[in-house]
Amino acid sequence: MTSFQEFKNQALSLINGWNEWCWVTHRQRVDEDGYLVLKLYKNKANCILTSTTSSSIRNDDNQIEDNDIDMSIVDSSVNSNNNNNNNSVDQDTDIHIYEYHVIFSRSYQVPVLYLNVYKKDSTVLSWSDIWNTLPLSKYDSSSHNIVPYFSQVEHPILGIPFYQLHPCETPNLMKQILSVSKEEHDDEDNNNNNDTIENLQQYFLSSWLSIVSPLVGINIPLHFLKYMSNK
Amino acid sequence: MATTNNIIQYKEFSSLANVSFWHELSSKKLDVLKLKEDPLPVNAYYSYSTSQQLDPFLCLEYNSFLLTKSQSSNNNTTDRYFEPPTRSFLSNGILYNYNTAEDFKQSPKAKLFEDASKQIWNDIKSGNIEKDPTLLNRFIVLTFADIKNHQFYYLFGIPALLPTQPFETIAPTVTLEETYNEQQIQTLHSSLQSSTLPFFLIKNNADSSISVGSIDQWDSYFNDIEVPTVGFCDPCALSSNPGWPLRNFLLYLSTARPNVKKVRVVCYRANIKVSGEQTISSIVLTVALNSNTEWSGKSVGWEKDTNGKIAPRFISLASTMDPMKLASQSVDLNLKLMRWRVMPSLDLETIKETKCLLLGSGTLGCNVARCLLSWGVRNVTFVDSSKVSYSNPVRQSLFNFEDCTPKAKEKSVAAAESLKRIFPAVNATSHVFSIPMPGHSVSASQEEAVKSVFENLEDLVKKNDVIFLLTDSRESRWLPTLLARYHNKQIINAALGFDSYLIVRHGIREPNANESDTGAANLKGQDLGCYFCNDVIAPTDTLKDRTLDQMCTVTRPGLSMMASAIAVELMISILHHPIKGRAQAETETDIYAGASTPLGIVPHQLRGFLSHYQTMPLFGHPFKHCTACSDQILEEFKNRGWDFILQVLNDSTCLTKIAGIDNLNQEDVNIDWEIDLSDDDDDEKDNE
Ligand SMILES: [Zn+2]
Repeated sequence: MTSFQEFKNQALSLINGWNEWCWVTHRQRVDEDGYLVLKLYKNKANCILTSTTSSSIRNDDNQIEDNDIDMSIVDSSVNSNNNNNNNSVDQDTDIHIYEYHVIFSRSYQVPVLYLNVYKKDSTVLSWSDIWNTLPLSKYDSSSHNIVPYFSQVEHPILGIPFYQLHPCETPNLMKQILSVSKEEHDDEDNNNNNDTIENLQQYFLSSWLSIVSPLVGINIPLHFLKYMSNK
Repeated sequence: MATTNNIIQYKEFSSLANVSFWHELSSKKLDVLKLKEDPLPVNAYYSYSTSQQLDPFLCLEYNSFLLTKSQSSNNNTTDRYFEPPTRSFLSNGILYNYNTAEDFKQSPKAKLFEDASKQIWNDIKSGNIEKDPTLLNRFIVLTFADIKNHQFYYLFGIPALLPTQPFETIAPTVTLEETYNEQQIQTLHSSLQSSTLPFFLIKNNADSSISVGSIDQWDSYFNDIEVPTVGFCDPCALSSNPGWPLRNFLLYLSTARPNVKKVRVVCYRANIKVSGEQTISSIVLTVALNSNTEWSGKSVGWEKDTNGKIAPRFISLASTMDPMKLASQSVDLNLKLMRWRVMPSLDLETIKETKCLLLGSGTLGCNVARCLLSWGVRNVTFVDSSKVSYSNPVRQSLFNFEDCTPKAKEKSVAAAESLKRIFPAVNATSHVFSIPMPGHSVSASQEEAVKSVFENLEDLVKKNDVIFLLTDSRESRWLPTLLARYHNKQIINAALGFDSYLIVRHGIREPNANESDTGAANLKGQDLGCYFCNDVIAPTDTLKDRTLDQMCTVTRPGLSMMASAIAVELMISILHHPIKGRAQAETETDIYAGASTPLGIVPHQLRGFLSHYQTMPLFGHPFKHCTACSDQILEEFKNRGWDFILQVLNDSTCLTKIAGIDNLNQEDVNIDWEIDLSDDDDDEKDNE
């Protein structure tokens, strides 16, 4: 993957087959801008929320006056404690929002995964809490030390702290994968060698995502795999 | 006539203000708003829900303070505009930020909410909705931003205007699939896929195809049709309830289309296949519209807190905004990168926990501290008695000009402060005293003061794990050597000459718990010589020392950095050995035989020569008559404590007697207390 434009093209075509991803741009009329965003909502058991429950809603249509609103603000230090110990019945607080960004790195010339996880009220989960929910942490359980594939960095566009899956191994990994598939293709067809390499390059992003996703808790939808195999 | 059971119940919005939104509000408040309390336009969006367990969210993010292109008055093409993400829909809001908790409490909440409601009603009456249907989705948010503590209080109001009579369904709720055929549903999906219309019209064409249009196409779409079909993008995923946006839309329809008695409403929930491979099914309602319906003047939609009460919500973002926490976490993760990339067995936890005492805060002290910091050591204690002088900052990497003037700071104090400025999470402390030295006699009047210094030093030795001996004189190294030996603490001793240096790790008496004579080779413990053992045991080396010592006031500037770095790296190697400081002294030959730690060998001494750019690992046994570390000396200290120390301070010659050197060939003995080992440097001695 040698240019931002290539990344963008592949990203937009990826969204066609996997429409949970969004393409987000930040500046108008700047060509080299934009990245992929995926938000997953998971509950405490770390399952992506999809199941069906019915709830009965009763709208309370009473007009609210100033006095009806309890504006009491507890001393902030006390309040923050309260907040942690609050055994609230609100299931929202159990929801973890996983925000995945895929941003093109010009220096490594590869897509880079960024991750942040927070609750509905914006409380950000600690790294150890996040790490333990990532399947990657299970791969690592055999070794004595926790292997950190992640570092905390400033989000290159938002400027706020995000966790970055370090890109330094990505080029090697992709070289291997693409060369393996290239050999397979070569066996089938020796005539179109150059075409094959180009063809494979155009699946850089989706190939990489299909390797990385399971490690970081993104389920690849079946329909996307079908979509890929049709291509 | 419908019963009250048919009154439509709507799923309310729940606000989802992202971390990036609060970051943006903080910087807005600091840079732009300051103390102003002007209302600010903000933009939010809502999307289709991917789960019935998820509330419909009204999302605010990093870009919520940007205007949309149509809200913006100037047409500057380089401006950034707010744009909702794909498959998301705009909601216009106003943010009222208050500077104090009191103002926040006293804010005219009901009035602000009513103002927003009136605005929606005006837009309905004036026909603005036809041009911009997103105007039905207004909201307000009241905030109190406690920037200093990274805490925010906020209260959202998302007004739904109550009609004089509630809207009711007049037919059972059905699914989209029961209403349209596959072809028609496909048309619906493709028409709405990249649409930004929150509300729309659906027309059944004569050829059984359907068309989707914007609400200002009403007349061309529904000429003479009794039950028109409208739709809205529904953020709710429940099987029997529509989401909040429908409320104002129905009021708009009944007001703008007084002749329509019935309307079919497609609550469109997109076609998003979530990872579980289920889709949220869209539902279709049939609703009665009453031509007499007006706005009742009342509206509802305050967001409740987590206890179901209408009250402000609270969020603390200290973990992502507190620079202290951010720096600590970043430093830790960065070091872990080394573990991941190079050395899985790197024991960062032990390094972090290791408490280091730095005796001497000059060039060596500063550089050792910096190197410890880069390794993630969090506990550093500085001891020095001198003050920062004008010549120091250029060589002593923790100081700068301000430490010398207008009043010279104590070196240890300035070093600890500087270390904290570099990395606030470090626990850096300082002590100002000079280490009692043999032969520097103590007068009766000084005795109490010197005794308390001695006690303080012993206490520090006990409290720390590794003691770096970085002082600028040989005598000052004696007492710490004795104390560390006595308390089984690791000493790493660094000394500089003009262009050579010496790093020694002193031996430890007590065997390590992991030691075993029968186990693997690297589990066999070994005692090693100290800095003073060297002198007597190898007179020829002492000659080399002399070239080192005599040049004490000048050293090549790079030397201290090299020596400091090697001293710290030696400590790191020791920490990675299974029996720590009892590790056998390894030399170059061991490198090829297979080193004892993942980092390589753990040598006893390192002697470096800058003149030929070489560092050599050396090894020396403990000298059984050593004046600092031998059993006789320790025994004397054990029995007499401070009395013994005081005796030595007043007359150092007693040491050779106690250690038993006096019985040896006098020619082999070479103790010269007056020889200085430099810590660098051009320090004026009278500073001490
Ligand atoms: Zn010794």
